[in-house]
Amino acid sequence: MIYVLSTQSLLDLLGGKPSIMNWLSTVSMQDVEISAVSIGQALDTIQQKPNAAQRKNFERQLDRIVTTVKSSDGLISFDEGAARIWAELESKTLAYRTRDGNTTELSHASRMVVATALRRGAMFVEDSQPYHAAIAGLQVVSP
Amino acid sequence: MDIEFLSAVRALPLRREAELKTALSELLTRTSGEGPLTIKGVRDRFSAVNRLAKSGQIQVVKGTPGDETVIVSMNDLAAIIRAAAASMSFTDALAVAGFVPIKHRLLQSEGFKRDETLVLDSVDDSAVLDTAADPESAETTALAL
Repeated sequence: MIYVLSTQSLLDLLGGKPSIMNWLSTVSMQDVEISAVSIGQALDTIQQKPNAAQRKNFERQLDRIVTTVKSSDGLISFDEGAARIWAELESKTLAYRTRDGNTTELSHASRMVVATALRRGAMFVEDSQPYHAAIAGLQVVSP
Repeated sequence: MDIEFLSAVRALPLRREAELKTALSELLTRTSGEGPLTIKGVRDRFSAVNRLAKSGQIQVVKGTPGDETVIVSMNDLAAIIRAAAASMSFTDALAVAGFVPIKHRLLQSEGFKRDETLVLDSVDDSAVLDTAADPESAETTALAL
């Protein structure tokens, strides 16, 4: 089984969230994939940090995650097939619950990540979200 | 390469270096069957030793503990690396890469705003036909549009 991390799961890994760390210790390195779009989203999030030293540290650790994923060909590009799926997702209302309990819509970039997981026929790794049920065929694991 | 050997490689304690060397040494000794070869023995019958290694029988040459030499074919080495990688968890691999989690939570911002900069307008059919029939007018039409 292939697992594609959501961008928030990637950020949680970067931050050492115990539930995702424990879960990833049970998964083979060859089964974990990350969308190239998530790398961009993660860098964008990091760049919003005001502290330069902290940004540098986050970027260094993110690079290590990327190196690890690339070593098993797990860094996935956004290709034509994913683009076609993404176009379908764009027409949907996809509710995303933020950590503070509010609800917003899933961003364009995050829809690209979901499309990548669907394209790969992979299990999507993300905390339970309202929009998951709105996408037919999306398999989710929430560590 | 023997499938049982590859299974044993997958079970090696990859994260504990001292234990790994011991376990690997035991595994290779068990696999090579006859025990480690002497340097003289290898030198005297290198063609035979090389042939055995090529056929999938890993050859171990005696040395002080940890400094033994292993003769293995490229194909078998690739199979061993694949087997070892398959046994490694994602967090093990991260640790090998030097990853240290930062105890700080980052939150991805979400939000959906439709892109209003892209336009899909209807086109006048007659203009398209004119364009196809007369390339010169195509330029005029395009400029007019």
